Amino acid sequence: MDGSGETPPVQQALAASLTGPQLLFAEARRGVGASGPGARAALRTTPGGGVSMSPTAQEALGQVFRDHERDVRRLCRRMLADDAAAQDAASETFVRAQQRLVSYDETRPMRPWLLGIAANLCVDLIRRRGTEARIFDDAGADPEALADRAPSPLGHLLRAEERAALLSGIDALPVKYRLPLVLRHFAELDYDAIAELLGTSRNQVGSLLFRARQRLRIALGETSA
Amino acid sequence: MSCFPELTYAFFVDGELDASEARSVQAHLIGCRSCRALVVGLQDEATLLADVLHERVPQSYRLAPRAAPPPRELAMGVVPMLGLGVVALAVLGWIFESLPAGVEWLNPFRLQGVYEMAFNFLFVIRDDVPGLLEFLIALAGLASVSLLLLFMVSMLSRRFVGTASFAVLLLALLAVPRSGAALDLHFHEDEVSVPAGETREQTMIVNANTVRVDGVVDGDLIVLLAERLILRGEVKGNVFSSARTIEVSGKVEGNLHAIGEKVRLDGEVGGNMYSASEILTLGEGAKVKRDSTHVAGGATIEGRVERDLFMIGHWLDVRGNVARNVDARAERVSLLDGARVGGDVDATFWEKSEVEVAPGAVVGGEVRSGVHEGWQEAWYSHYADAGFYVWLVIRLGAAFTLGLLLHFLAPRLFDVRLTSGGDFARSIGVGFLVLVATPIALLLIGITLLGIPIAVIGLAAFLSAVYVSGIVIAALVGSQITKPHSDTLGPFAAALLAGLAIVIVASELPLLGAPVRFLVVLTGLGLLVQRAYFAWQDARSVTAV
Repeated sequence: MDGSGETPPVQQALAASLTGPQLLFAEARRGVGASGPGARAALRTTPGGGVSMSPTAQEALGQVFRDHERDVRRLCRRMLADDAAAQDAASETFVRAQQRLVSYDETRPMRPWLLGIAANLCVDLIRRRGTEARIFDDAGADPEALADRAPSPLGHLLRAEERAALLSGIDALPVKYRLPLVLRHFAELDYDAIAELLGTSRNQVGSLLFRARQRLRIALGETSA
Repeated sequence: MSCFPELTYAFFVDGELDASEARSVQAHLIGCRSCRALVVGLQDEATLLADVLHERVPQSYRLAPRAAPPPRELAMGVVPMLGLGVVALAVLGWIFESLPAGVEWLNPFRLQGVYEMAFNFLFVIRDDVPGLLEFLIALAGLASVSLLLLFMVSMLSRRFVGTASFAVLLLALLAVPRSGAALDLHFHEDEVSVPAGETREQTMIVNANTVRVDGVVDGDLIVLLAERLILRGEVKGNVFSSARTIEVSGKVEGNLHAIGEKVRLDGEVGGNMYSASEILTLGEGAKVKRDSTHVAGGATIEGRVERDLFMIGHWLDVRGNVARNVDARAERVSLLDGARVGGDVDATFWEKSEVEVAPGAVVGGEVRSGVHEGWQEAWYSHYADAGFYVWLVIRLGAAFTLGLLLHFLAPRLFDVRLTSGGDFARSIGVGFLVLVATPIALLLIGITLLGIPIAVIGLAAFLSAVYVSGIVIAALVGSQITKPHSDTLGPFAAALLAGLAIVIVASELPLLGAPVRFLVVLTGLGLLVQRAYFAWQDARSVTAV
């Protein structure tokens, strides 16, 4: 499954101002010691779906992953609101990432790609929790919750305790509000991407996000008062 | 054009409106100030959410490279509040020092009515809030009254600071109940009595309207907030009692501690007696085998004190027998016919006055009358003492060394901020709670069989925290002045030294020193506790991520 013809040459990727670990990663993908532009000698999909790599490439990949490990773990933690599950999900993310390395477009940044994998995984996990097979029940569409007289937006919360309160407020949000919020503000996905991930419409994403913020404003207003 | 709903602006801020919608929103924003403000608010909120989710630490939260908070903000909040508080205390102090006698009752440092007010207040709490909660509140109230007393006593006489004992003793003695003693608890009962001929072989803790002991309690007797305590029997341990009326005609083998409106002793106390009351009477049959210390509106001593008698209050009448010295601070001290004092009589009056000695009174030593020299004079006198400055330097050195050590061991301890008046007020509030609640908690731990060791360790930790709170505040004050550029040792040491110098000197200022120290401890404790709480929360969320 050598797809060297379909993706841009590695040289282009290198030219796309990749730095540090990403350069290393590109190097790894090109296959250290292998020859030829665009060669993927170092990277072969095995029959089992896994990827076999040269040790150097493996190490380079490991380093790239480690750079994003914290973000991936945080995303899982915020989406799942469960430490143990988040840990597992993060590990699983990197396993999947390695398996899908071939599909990675190296002209794009690494973080959104990894976070996308993690987000997919977490959404699957939440769906599999059974009770929430459908993340969005019908009540999710209730327009009356969009009160006209909502509390005003949260300002700069400088104090650590306020921030801690906000973070735990986010954890406490129902999953249908929490997921869009985390995907938007942590994974920095746009509405379409979030809608696709969660299996809903972009307008729905917009109003869920809006309501999530309103809930947080109310929750924080209550705690600080 | 009318304003769009907020949802539209939310889409707009997220860049999710299509081009034509976005243009019309932009057009509206040009002309609508409130919607512009809303959009800015939404943008800020989005930034905040991203920051919080990424767990980015805001700049102002760090100690060393402090971009924020601007000193001006601090000056706007903390400094005026501090200044106001200090000035108010100073003015109050001055007013009450120079008040004409006719309006003396206004003086909160005087005793008249204080006990009645305190007890009425506590009883209202007790009767209107049923359940266990009520008991805890009452206990907190009791502790506050004790604190108030302690504060008053230390304000009135530096000599009596030594007898800060009242609280410390209460703690220490309670933390060491008689070995093997179990507890006999009675809460919120109407009447609890130990009939004559009966023996309770346990320490009794009682909260009831009326407490009668005609029999024997073979342990300590602790009476929390009763209307009336009548002790005709015998208590083999100590008695700690707070009741509106306390009458002891039986025998207490240990110490007798009594806080009440009226306290009357006709029986015998094997140890010391401490009381705080409006009216104290030691009747003819009363006998205190050791010292007898009282804060009272008025005191009549007809019985016998086998060591010294100390008293602070309005008037003191002695008809009985004091084996050693009498030391009183009052408006009137009278030795009536029949009075026998083995040693000296020292009286300090608020205004110039003399001890009244009746012809039938006998004093073995001298009778001295003085006038209360006021806090200022008392303070000024020790500024002339070189040892005082040596002591200051030693204190500075000790605090500095400990501060550096703490910075080395736990740098985050100093990661505290006071950015606004609100922060300051909250820290003071938390500090006060801790200052009051910790001794109560320790006391409860101590008297339950749970753990004297835990109580002792807790007390040590508490006292350490009180000490460290001063160092933390000093570091905070110092960093405001030296503005260290990094969190490394050198700049920190400079900041700490500067801060310590300021705090220690400020806390030794005449008149202002005590309030400053009190404020420093309150604020510091509050900050420390909040710091610990958030460190704990951070630890939880860090392990979570």
